[in-house]
Amino acid sequence: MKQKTIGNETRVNRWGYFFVLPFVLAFVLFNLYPTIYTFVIAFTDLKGLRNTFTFVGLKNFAKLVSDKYFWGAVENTFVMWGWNFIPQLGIALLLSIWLSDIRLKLKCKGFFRAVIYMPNLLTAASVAMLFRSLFAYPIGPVNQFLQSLDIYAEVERNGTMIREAFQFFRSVPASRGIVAFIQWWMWYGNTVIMLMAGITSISASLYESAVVDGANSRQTTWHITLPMLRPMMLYILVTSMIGGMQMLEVPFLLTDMRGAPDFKIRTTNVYLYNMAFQGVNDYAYAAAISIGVFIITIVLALFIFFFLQDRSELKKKRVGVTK
Amino acid sequence: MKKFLIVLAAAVVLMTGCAKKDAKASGTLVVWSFTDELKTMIDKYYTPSHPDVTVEYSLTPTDQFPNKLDPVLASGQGAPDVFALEAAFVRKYIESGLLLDITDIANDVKSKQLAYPIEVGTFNGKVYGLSWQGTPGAMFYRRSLAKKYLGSDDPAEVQKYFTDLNKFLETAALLKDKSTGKCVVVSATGDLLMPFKGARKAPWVVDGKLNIDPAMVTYMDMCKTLKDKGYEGRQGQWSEGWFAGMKGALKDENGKDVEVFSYFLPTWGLHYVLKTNAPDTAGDWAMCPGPAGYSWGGTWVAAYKGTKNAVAAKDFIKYVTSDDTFLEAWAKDTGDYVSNNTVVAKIKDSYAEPFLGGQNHYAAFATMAASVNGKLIQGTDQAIEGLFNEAVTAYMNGEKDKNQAVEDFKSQVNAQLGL
Repeated sequence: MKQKTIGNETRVNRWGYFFVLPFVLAFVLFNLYPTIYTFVIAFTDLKGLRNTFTFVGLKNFAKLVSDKYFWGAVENTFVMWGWNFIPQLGIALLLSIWLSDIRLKLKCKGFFRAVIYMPNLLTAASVAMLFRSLFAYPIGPVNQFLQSLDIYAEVERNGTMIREAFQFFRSVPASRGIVAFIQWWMWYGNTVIMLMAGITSISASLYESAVVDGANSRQTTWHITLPMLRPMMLYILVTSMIGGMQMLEVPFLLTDMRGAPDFKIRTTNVYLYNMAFQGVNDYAYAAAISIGVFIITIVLALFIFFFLQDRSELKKKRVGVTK
Repeated sequence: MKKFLIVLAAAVVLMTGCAKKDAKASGTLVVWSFTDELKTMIDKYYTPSHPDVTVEYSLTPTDQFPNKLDPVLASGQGAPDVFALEAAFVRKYIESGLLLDITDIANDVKSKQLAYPIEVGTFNGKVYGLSWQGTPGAMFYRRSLAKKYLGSDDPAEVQKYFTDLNKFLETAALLKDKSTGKCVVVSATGDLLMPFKGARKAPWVVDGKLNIDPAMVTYMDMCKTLKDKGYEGRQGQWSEGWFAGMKGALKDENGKDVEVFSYFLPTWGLHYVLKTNAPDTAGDWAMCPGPAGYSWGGTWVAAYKGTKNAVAAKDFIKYVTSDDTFLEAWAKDTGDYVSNNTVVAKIKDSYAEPFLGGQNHYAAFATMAASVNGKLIQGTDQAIEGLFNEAVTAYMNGEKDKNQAVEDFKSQVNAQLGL
């Protein structure tokens, strides 16, 4: 009797494999295989309308390391991601603290949360097109608004100064700023939700005892909420960086699909797209770019974890063990 | 009913039998296109005259078309038999070695076809693609503005003001003066790219190296002058303002009217851009050759070299790109400028385009088509011009000096295209 039950159990367990099979198949086919293929073709000369290739060793990577435009694209990506991340975390912190503060007793919290999250539901491509027309030159909503305030660009034309509309997409800081703003606007809602989840998971007893001890709002925020949110902020930093390194649609569609003005909003992924799907279709080099981005992301993620992790807990544990 | 079926079956057997004897086209053809023109051709003309061939047609928007076509051509799996190729990327495929050699049908029809589309479809002496149309470009101008500022709206008279590039600049200044700054010769500097490209002596890539033709340097200077002196409307091509200029409704940021004198557009630009976007100004347009002859756009038809139905594919290409009866009917239906000179000669004098105030556009295009050089088009043009455009804009706006802009352009081309 006992034997039979065990037999039954094993048979039932086997069904588990069937249940995960669809995922495993989809993963291998659409995720694992393309990833391996990318690694393989990065070492080849696959280019143009061919599907045959020969291995060329590290040639593509040698080119990558000395390609100033690749490093320019890395710089562009980081500048725009940084301009988006710092205000994103700051404003999201403020909003999440307000929205989850019990003492503030805010009304319509659910409504605010929904509104804040809303931009994230829009497609990046359509947001890019929206901003493209908002900041259009010489006539566009933003320019018209500025002119109603009597703000014009002073341009020298043929020796005389002329007042005309702003050419936003010919200015590097303005274009980068617009990209960063779009990224911020689309993602701060997501960060708010994450931080609020982090805040609600902080034990209420900590706040209660602090209040009993006479702590005010600022003190509880500064000494309880922020330190306890550290792991969550670390997580947000890393995921946001990974997302930021993959920035494509917005800078791609905002100007000329090549990162104008002066290729200064050309992110690594836009550069990759230009290489692989425009011009001579240099798939091998594009694969090398994607691996380059992959390595940079991993190194930075490890770096962040190593330096920003709260190591006081680790130390305590170690002390405990030696005792 | 049964009888009918038997008769039908007999007819089918008979027809397929005959077809085999004459090596006539039959079977199935998979056709991919980015333009619905091909669909009309198939439904209205090809299928009725070729009942043995079943066409499976699929349409993909132009910007996604190469991305859909590339993988299937490279792997050969699921590749279409016949496909349309746009001027911007046709050479990439012509040069790829993946297309069916159709030199034999090109030789059959060469004597009656316009020369430049065949040149575009030729690589290493073999023909891989043919086109049903010629797309010579012209300068379309507003009659009312020409009358007001130049004293005449007659195409021959107006052309005298635009015979070459110096004259073009002089007239641009004249238009600005006479209109007290209201009238600009073009709404976008980009309008002039195509005429300047047509004025080149050599293509972008010569012997595997980037070649910046003097005409392209002149183009940079021209853009800068037009912008600095305020002879152009500061719009981007295909932007809202660019279209507003056609309607005569363009205003600058201060609400002042801007009159756009001309647009540089090819054959299809007349029918699909001007006519559709500027119905209010119909009749107020005319065309002249302008400062340089050029061509812009056009669609080629080619077949995959691994096609299982080469006979039908060749027959299809031959029919849509050269058949006298079909192209005559097509030209009459759509007003398209066809690549068959016999048809053009036959019908060119019968046109009087009401949109152009009764001018015969067909005869005018016929003279312009002859001067187009098909050897200037290459596979890398689109990518190179994308990068060149950035250089021109940077120079035009005074962000970089000319040397700097050209050097940056060369270095970008080298990094991205290895030229």
